[in-house]
Amino acid sequence: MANVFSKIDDSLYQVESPERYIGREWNQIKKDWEETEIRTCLAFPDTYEIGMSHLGLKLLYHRLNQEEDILCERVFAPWTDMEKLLKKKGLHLYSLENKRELLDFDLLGFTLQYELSYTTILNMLKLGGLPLRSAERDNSHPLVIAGGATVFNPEPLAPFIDLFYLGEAERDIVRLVRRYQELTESDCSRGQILRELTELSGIYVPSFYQPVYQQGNLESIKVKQDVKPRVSRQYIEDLDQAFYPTDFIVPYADIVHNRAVVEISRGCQRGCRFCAAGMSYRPARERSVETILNLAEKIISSTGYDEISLTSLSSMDYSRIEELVTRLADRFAGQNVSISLPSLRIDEFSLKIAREVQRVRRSGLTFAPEAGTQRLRNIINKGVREEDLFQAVRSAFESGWHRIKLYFMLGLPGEEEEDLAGIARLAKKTAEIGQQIRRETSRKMRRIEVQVNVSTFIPKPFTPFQWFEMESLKAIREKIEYLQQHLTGRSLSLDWNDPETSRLEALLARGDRRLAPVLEQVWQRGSRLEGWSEQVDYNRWQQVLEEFSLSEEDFLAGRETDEPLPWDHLYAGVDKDFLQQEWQRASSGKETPDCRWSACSSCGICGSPRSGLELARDKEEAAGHAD
Amino acid sequence: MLIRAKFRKEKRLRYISHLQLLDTLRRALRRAELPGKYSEGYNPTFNLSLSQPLPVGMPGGGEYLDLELTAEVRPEDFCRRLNDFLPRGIEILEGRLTDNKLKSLQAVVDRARYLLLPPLKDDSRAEAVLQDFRNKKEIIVVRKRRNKSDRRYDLREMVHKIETAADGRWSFLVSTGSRGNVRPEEIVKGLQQIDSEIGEQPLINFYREGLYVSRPPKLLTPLADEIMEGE
Repeated sequence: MANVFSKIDDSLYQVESPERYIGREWNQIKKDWEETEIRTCLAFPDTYEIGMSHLGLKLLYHRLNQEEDILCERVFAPWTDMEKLLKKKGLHLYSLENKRELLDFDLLGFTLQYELSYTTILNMLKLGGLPLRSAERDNSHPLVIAGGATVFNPEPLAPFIDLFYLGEAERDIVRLVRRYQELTESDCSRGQILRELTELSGIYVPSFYQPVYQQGNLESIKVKQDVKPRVSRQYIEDLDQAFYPTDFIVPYADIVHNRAVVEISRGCQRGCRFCAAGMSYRPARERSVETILNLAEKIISSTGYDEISLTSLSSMDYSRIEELVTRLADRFAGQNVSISLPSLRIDEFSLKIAREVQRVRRSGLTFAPEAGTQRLRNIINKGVREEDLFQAVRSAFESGWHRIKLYFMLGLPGEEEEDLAGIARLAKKTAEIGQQIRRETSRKMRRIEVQVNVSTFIPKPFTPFQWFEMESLKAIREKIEYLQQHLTGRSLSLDWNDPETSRLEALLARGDRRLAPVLEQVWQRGSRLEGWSEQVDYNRWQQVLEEFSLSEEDFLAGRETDEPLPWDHLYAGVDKDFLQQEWQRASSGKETPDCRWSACSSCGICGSPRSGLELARDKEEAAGHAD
Repeated sequence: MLIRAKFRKEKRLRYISHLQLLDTLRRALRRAELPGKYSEGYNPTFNLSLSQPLPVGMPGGGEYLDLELTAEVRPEDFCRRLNDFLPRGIEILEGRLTDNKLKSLQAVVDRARYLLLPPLKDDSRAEAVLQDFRNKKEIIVVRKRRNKSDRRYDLREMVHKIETAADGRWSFLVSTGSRGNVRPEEIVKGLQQIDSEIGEQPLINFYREGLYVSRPPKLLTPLADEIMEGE
């Protein structure tokens, strides 16, 4: 249906934050609908504010729109009030640019950012007027694809999505779209088209793979057609040369990250054993300082933002971070542009960089020791020493910061009471250091605050801890209580993530296709937007699981290393041997250092040791301007 | 040096809030590289101020902004250049420069004209209803206030002119600002006391045609000579 918007325009004042639904932001790309041959839409299964803070969505939006004969539009999940309004008016969910129903597009691509958005995906399909299941759709419907951070175990979504793209999609998205368009112009059925698309790298069509269960356990995954037995993740090899947009859309709403975002590097090889991103975004790749400066300049002039955020999994590991922030600060001096770094490492060097970028206002800093004792930090391979932490916080307080946030996880493998006591001890010591500095300084310093945040560890696929069990609700609650009792005192506060929500996230992260009907049923009973604490309904999930004769434990219990895993037919880049070896090393408390400054740990990413690594430093040295 | 400019905020952009409008203008000024003056302090931003906020959803045709400048720009250039960098829906219409010390827009503006789509099915009664309104000595309406008790006030004395516009819309010139403020929905409450057939009027049936400064017997715009000369 053309122009859905005219039927709802005059009613939008009835919903909260109507600017979410109007589009027409600065730098929005609206192409002529009739004149453009291939029509694609990117769907983000959460609200506008969350989706517009997501870099991956923007990369693909601008990449696709770069092609003259392709248009790419956006759609976000409507909030519950807007959903009601759409239904009342008998309208389908529409895209922000041309205001077309999702049904009108050739291709619809969902971002998989986190597991709790899966019910929202079903909701958006339904609100968009599409049949829910892939098997019910044919060539008259858009091809429904998905990809993103949680794509490495997409099994709970398998019946609803036509194909998944594994890895960094800006690499091949245009190829995929074009190949699909070619195939639709032939006489192929939807099934034949999907079969043809599996020939492209990174494409996983779940309907061609059939899990076989024996007495409630996964026995194997049968490949139904002559397709690849295992699908591999794709990644950008040369990040410096890779596409990066500069004409970012400028939202009206105060979204989470309303600033110029420059991705300085991708991937992290520190090898924290709990970290899914650290495993599946290897190898670490960097953009050069020159490229970053150029991008920053163009983004600032195109958007009018007054803040630049340097983003990556671990900014401090950028091999020329000091040069970069100094040159950025110089470049934008006098233009009232500030620079922010989202991920600080715990060391003196990071503090020096932080001082450099935050020349003026100093309020809060965040550090993530993750575990309370050295023994446990060795198990998880978080290479942080207690002395580093104390030195970093001392330096932070001395430099004028007065609020320190400390992040920890509960339920890690090998965790004991002394580790919880360790969290309390680290926090107290941090507060003491701050208080002492505040007493002795001649400067005016605000009251010291140490905020401890604990979250429940989730053993995720494609990490060395994928075989470990998820902690029970009871045990997590007891640990939180312990911390409540022991983390008392001036300047200290404790905050925790809801453990029930973490259990749900773990369920979907580790689940298999038996969860698909559960997901559908939970959604039908009203679950959606479950990333929002007021929307998530843990008991509903329990009830539906029970009705399907399943329990959380079927998916959250520990697994043997020789047991088949629901995601064994997918490959996130690191070898299973490496993960097992890391699991072994964890059990014996051995650390594995980053291969960038130590021996190769044979994770399987590079063909030969270190050959695939690409650092800004190496590049410039090779080009002959070494320091 | 200060520039005062008139702008409109219409169509889809009527759905952005006052704060979002401020951010949108600030970013457009940066994109346009206009010589706005920054505030001092930790978070320097443009010294930009606007006239009374429009309710979200209501379009406005005569809104105003004040911006301090660090260098002179011809007002026509200011408007043209800023419009090049604004999303469709906001348009700068005209501007004037001054070195005089002006009262802030929100302090000086005290009148707003609202146009309401004819609220009666039978429009032939319009004139009679409006004449009734004019003839009333007093129209008491109740204002709901968040976290405070309701307040009763006389709407009639704050409605200064009532007429029908050329296109048939009902036009109300009312008090606005800190020295007495009429909310558009209160005009509807008053009309309902006169004719009970008048139903609830959604915000989007209103249009704020313009903001003014009363200098009896004259009604001036914030860009009028008398205002721009300063106090």
